[in-house]
Amino acid sequence: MELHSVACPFCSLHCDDLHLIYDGGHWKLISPACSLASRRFKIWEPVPGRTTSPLIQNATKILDKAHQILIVLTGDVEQETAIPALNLARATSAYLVRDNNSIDENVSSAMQKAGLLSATLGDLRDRADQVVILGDDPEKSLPRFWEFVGSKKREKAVRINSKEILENIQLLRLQRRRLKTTIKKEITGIATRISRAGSGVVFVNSESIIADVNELTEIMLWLKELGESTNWFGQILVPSTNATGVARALRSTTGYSGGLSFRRGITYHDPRLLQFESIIKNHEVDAIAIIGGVHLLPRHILEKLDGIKTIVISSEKPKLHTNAWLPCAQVGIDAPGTMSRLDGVPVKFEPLVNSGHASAQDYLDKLIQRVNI
Amino acid sequence: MIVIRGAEVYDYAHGIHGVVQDVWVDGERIVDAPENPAKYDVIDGKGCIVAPAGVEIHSHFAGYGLDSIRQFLSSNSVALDALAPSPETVAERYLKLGYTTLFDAASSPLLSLTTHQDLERMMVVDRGTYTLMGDHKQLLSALAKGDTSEIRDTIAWLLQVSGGYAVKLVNPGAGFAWKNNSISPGLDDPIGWKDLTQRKIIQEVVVAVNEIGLPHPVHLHARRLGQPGNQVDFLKTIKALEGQRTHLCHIQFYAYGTDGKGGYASAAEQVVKAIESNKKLTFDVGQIIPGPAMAITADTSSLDFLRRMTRKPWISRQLEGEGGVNALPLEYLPADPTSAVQWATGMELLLRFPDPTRMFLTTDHPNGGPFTAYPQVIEWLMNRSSRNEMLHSLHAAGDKRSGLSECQREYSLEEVFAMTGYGPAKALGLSDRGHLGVGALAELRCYKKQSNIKAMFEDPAWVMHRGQVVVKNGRILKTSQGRTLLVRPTWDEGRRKAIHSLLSRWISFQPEHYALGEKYQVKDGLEVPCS
Repeated sequence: MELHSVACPFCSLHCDDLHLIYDGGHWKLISPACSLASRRFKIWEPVPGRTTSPLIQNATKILDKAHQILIVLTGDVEQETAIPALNLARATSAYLVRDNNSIDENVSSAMQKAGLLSATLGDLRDRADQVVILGDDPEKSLPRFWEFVGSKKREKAVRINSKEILENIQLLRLQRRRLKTTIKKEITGIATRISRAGSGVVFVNSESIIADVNELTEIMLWLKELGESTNWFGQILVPSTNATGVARALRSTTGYSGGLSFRRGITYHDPRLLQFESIIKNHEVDAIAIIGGVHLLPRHILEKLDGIKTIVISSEKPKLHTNAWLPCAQVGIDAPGTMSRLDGVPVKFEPLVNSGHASAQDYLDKLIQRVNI
Repeated sequence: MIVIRGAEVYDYAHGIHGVVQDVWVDGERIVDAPENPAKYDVIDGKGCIVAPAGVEIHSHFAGYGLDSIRQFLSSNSVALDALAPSPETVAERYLKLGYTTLFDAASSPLLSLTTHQDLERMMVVDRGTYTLMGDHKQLLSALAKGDTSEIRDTIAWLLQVSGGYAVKLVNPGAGFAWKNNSISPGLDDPIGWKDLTQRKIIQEVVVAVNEIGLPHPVHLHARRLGQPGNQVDFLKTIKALEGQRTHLCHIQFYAYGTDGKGGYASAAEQVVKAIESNKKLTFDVGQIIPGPAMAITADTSSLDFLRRMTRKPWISRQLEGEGGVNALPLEYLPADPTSAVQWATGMELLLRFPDPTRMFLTTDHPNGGPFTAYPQVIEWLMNRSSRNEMLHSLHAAGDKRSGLSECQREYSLEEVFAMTGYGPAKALGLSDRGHLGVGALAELRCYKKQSNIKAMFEDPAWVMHRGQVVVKNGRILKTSQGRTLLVRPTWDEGRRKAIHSLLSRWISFQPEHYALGEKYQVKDGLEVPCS
């Protein structure tokens, strides 16, 4: 089977021009030359064809016996999963968090405070002359990133990826006069290039940047002031394939994008306290249901799950000891679903093959039906 | 078969104003009283008022813009719940107010999937959305060429790929000009795309839409939204329409004069005088409600003005190939002179405009405030002392800089039902609702008669949708899926290749996946025919 103009579910650019061949149960990417998509399609194989009933029974038992449950929704699941995940959290009086509750919101908040506009990728390509990247070059996690923004812009892009530069920029903005003579050569170079640009975009690569909201805001204000133009944009580059979509789906139902508690039947929101890391560290739960890719969760916390019963609903076998793995179909290959590009443009995926395997939503719906409420 | 017996019936379309008579329903529709009915259920309507259900013509409750609001309001749970509830809650609240047909006021084609996914989550109600086109490069290109068949085909194609019900123009051309650093060009200034001006865009699109025969005419958001002295520009826009059938939305935000010192004053009287005689125009008011609100609009240039004036941070997302989606938090404060004038201006427009079948009640939710305030607005309209009490609780500018205190009029019940049901349904081209004629959908609301108007309109005794009671005594009885109303005007599909070729210059993905994508089927879609 040969397919053209296929959308890719494996990074948050969701390129939709893939040419694929499916033969003997295996995929081959013909074009474009994207290493990530090529590898992910190549290694894809349908989840083991096990009967789902015993798996669900086992997971239901774990949930029924638990005193307090944590449901973690990672940023690589389809938007449609958010509502059944919320329903399960409500039904079991659980906590519900995302894998990165705070990072993307902190960055968005910083951009807003700095007065940066945002734009979809096609608009950025056409309207932003200068690209500034806070963090590493995103090419590794988003291989075709520069095709979207304009390949020629890569050569003159400014990259700010060291904590030292960030701190100096912040000091520069806060105490301009005192530090004027101590500006490092590197910062001067950056400043010159930015100030010459009529328009530009600041990409924050959330995988590699380590800064809090205030630091980021200072940096963005500095960049914008240097540019002296209202035509500066900001955009976060999210590591997971659908972090934007999952956040939006949760917001459209609860008003909040995570950090939720449904204990004792009361909905409570606290984005600071109700995070994956803090809940585990505080030993608040005895069962976790992770929906989506375990690889998106911090390894050092996953190592602290001893004594906590773990259920994982994912299309890939988790590299983690689990008490129940419910293997589900992959959106964009054998399951339908909606994901959002990193700039918020929604992308609808239809299954390319019919494997007959359950989706994450199917599992969640069945669990909701069976758990003791 | 059901008969509603003993209620005072209101049916503005047929001149029935509070007459006690039976209303017969068979299946989904109103029927004549049968001669010898074999078996039927009786709904006792004694002491009640029965009227066609409400039809919402302009409210922002679905899609991408709502997400921006939620991001702003995450630290204010009360405002969040009032201004940006979930789609499920929106449907429930409208049903409990007696509304069964709802239109979302604006959806960008690029992000229309998000809008439709929200609409699909709304139980029971019939709903739809208007497609934003005023800054769409595909349409601007067709307009610049001046090829009328290409303009019509582009409009029809955009409606099809976005699942829209009507064409929405928001300060057309200004979003494009703003992107090119030109702040809000005048009606006859070039927008920067060949010789296109806003006047030309409006005139050509209005004519094209009327020629296509869409059930609802162009839904127009004019220029200089919310700015003092803007009535002059608004009336120029009205004149530019040259009597063509058009709907002008939230006109309270355009009916401002000045107080001589740059402050706001009501120009409702002048505006009403100028627009009243133009029988092909319909309007909704966009009444403000004192309290928190959110500006949410595709009118980037006007919101840019507003955020500079209020010095508040905004969210502005610019979209490839079209305009933008913007949000800004607002608060209408009783002690603020501008808020007081805005409140009085909306009231004055509603009271001075004589025809309730052409001027409709909206709050432009959430721009003017939440739609849940409709019962309060109705009370202000029906009860002069309540209105005056409110006026005097606001800053004195509301009284001094408006002619509201001169307005003696009190709305009658039939006028309220006309401006919330029959009028909007007619303007939307929905001939199957808004009235109780034989063959109409049995979309009804019933209130227990009482002297407290606000309480009465807040709590219908029951609400009927397609012949079934869906709300009774404040409780939802049915949670079945509603229908999405859309149009499917024909277009020359031989033009597809040219459209895709042009579109691919501006967007960053494959043209066949644009908007809903060519394979997408709107769930529970219901096509309303073009004339």
